[in-house]
Amino acid sequence: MDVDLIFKIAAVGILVSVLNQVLIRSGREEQAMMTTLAGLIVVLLMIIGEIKHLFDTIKSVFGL
Amino acid sequence: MEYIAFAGMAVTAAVLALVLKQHRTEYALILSVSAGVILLVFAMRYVSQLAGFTRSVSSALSLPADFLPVLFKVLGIAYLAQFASDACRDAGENGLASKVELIGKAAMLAAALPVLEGLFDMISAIVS
Repeated sequence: MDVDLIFKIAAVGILVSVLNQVLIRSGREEQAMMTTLAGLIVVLLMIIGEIKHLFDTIKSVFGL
Repeated sequence: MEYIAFAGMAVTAAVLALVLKQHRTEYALILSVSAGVILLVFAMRYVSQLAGFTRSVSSALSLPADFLPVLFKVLGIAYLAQFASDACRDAGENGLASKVELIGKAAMLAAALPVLEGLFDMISAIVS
């Protein structure tokens, strides 16, 4: 079961949020923005395979 | 037992999305979309069982074979359009969501065209 994916995404989100706060407090706004962007890309890469799996399943079930 | 796991997963994802929404809205959106993807994949497992049953019943009753694939195609388009429009609406893009729904409705009508043609052929055969 792919329930781990939910926890992974939540963990990445919380981690990026904390990192963002730390980096902004220490006056590194550019790196904070880069961290946000990198986290977003990592999470998107994680779910894109699942979305492909869903589309393939729908295609095979309904004969699209 | 699987159903309990789905219910727990949905509630957990909702709570996590609520926590994430305060700090990072985009992660909350991605989390809810991916939870929806996982739930839909599991829903498709049951739907495929039902589809197989419907196909076997239809072949046992020797119904016309060219209408059932159209029905399943329309159902698949409906699921896809609903998924995409829900994701857009979660992201706050209501206009995009309604456009996706419009495309879904038009595609469903276009997929159902052969059935409509058969109906009109039947009507014209009866009338003439």
